[in-house]
Amino acid sequence: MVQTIRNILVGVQVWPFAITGFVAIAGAFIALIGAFASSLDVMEFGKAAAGFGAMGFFGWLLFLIALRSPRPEGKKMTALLEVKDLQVRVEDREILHGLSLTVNPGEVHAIMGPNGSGKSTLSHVIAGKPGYEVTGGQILFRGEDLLEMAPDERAAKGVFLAFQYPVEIPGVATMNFLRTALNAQRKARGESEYSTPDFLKKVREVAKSLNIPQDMLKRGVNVGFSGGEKKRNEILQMALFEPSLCILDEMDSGLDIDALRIAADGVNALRSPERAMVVITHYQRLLNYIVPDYVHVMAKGRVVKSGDKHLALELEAAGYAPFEHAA
Amino acid sequence: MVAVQETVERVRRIDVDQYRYGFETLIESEKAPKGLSEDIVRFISEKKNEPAWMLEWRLEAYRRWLTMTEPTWARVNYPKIDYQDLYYYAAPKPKKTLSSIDEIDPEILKTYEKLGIPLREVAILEGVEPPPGGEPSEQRKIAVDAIFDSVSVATTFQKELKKAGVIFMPISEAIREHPELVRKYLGSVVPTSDNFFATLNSAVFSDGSFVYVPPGVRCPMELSTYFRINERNTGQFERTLIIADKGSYVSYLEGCTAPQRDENQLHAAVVELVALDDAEIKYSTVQNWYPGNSEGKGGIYNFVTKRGDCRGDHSKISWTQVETGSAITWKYPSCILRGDNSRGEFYSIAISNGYQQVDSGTKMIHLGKNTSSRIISKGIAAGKSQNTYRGLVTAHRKATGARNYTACDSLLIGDKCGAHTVPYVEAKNSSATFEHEATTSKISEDVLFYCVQRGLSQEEAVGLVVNGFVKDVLQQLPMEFAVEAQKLISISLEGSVG
Ligand SMILES: Nc1ncnc2c1ncn2[C@@H]1O[C@H](COP(=O)(O)OP(=O)(O)OP(=O)(O)O)[C@@H](O)[C@H]1O
Ligand SMILES: [Mg+2]
Repeated sequence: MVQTIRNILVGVQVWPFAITGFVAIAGAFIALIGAFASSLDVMEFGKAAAGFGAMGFFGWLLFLIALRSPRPEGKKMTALLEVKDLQVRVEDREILHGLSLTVNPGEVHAIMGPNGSGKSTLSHVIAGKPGYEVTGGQILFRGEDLLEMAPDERAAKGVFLAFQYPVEIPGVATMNFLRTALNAQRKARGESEYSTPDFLKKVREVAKSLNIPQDMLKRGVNVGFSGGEKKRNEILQMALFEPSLCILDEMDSGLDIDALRIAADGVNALRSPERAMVVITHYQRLLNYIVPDYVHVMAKGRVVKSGDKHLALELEAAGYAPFEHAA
Repeated sequence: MVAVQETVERVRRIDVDQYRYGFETLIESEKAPKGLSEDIVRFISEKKNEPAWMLEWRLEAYRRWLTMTEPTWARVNYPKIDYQDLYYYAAPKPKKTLSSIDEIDPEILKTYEKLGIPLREVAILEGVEPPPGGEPSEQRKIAVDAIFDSVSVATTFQKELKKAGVIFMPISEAIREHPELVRKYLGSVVPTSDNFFATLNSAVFSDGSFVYVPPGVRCPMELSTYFRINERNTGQFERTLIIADKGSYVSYLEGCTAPQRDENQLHAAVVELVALDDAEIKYSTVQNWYPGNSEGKGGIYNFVTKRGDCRGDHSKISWTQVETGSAITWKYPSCILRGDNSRGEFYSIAISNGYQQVDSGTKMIHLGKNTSSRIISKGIAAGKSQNTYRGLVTAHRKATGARNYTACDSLLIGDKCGAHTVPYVEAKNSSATFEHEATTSKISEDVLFYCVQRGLSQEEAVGLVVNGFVKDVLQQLPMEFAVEAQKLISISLEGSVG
């Protein structure tokens, strides 16, 4: 609601300036004519109009400045992703026991935690993978109920999950897959499909920046790709689809040092004030490349501690043991 | 679990009830009386103005058939067929004698238009315009023989083929015009005594296509036959005979559809191919007979005998089939590798959904020296269907150096369907090398979710995965038909139109 009003105001911001500005200048002009014509009435009217216009002009300016200035800790802003007290079961076993997480546009959150603590489960539930039963809590995406949406609908709205274990699709050329997926998303959003030359140009650009050779794109999706190549292919898709929420599940596993830097650069290039990232990792090293705004520690299906990037260093030194007790 | 469940539900609902070719053409037709007897065989022969030897041939087959019993070894179930409750001959009543395609009953022309079959001689590929004032380019032309119930209604491009020396005409005409060729080759690959359905076909076949490619000629265009069953309670028994003389080449494609009806209809065709020295025949089928509705009611019983004889040295026969239709498919396109260094190939995509039953495969009989064969079979089972690959590879004593490679892959969608692989391998000499690989997999939930996460709908994801699965075989089809076949596969599994 607030968001909408704000959009409307910002959208028409030029007009109040134009109108009030015009009134102020016209008023001043009339006042001047009044002065020359020694007509007190005209001069008074002009002065009043000029004053009125100038007040409106500067008032509007102040209002806009107030609107745009950073507010304390993003309280009034609608979060991009809000996970509230999420409880999830898999085959009659509860895996997430009341997990909460709020991610605002532009932020980078890192999630760390021991094996089996539920990190991938969280990412799967956000993306809508079948087989998980949500028994409590909710997930909002830009204020909308995400759990009500089909997974392809979530993708079209801008939820992207880079998988911990990307699958192989034999017989489906990567290029063909990328194009089918991108056009499906665009179609779902009511946008026009990419023309072939535009699409090829875009893919080539992105592939080049990620050091992905062209002939890899001709092969079946992930078929025979090395572990690192598969991960790079995930980042490629992320760059291509331009999602607003990127969840990266252990993108650093299986990458050598150079590949890690290239992939991290690829991710950093996508950082923007509108886009948020959730980076799941076991290693502090990745966070040297992709510097997070927040770090959360997950243990036994809950977030047990949150902090800034220094928390990752603490973890590196002390391990998870202190936090597991907390859970 | 949930994803696949949903997909399966959706697939079940859409596929079979969504048969797009199920309309019926209202047209007057001429039928033989119901049932089968010597008189009916004579009636058919007379209708076709056949010479005496042909009638004799039919009668012999008929008498033989009376002594045979229906085979039961295939993994298919169906109620007993009452062979006396069928019509064995139906032909659209001609309004007058035809001298050009424009005189064909407009209802029939409309039917083929609806089916997308070009009976007028035009380039068929959409978006490919012939150069202004020029002829359509050679590769784009496809000669069509259209068979409506029991008779051929039109054969296109005859003049141009004649120039090249290629004979392409309804077999009923060939019996009259080229008796020496027909007598020599008819029944030489599939003898009249071969099997129950082939023998029945020999007695009552009504029409089909005949092709002869003279020595050294590369047939200048794709040949194709389009079969359409329209009449109710009518069996369709067509007979195709293709002869590639020394050093010649021909590529041939058949397509089939039928109206949607509650009762089952019988289709028992015989196809014979003969390749002489250095000749090559490429035979492709896109079979889309009506499969029955989602409750398993109606649909075509497709009992077909197809066999190719690599009679000459260095000859080659290759079968490619995309089977998506029919309630029951019983079909084993085979190669007899008689000539030394001859080669047989079988590429198959068989899709079953709803209550369809498919029992299909091939036989590669290695008789000559250094013969080779290759079998690539892709079976996809969805719904409550059963999909069996049945294959036989044999090398006889004299077939030294015989080689075969077989790969059978099955993909299951859901858990109420079944896929079965029944390979028989028999080598009577020690120099034969036979390789066999088989896999059965379920369509992976993880793969589907991956696609859906990237924005594809559930149906699009299934279509994509399946098309990837069958790609090796799809590539074997002539380019124009590969596109069609790909669409057909998507439709038979997802119902996305177009
Ligand atoms: N389909 C399933 N069936 C049964 N248990 C499951 C299933 N999926 C996840 N689990 C269990 O849920 C728990 C959390 O798994 P999850 O994959 O989310 O952990 P993770 O934090 O991503 O671990 P890792 O760091 O090893 O990737 C584990 O104990 C796992 O065994
Ligand atoms: Mg994980």
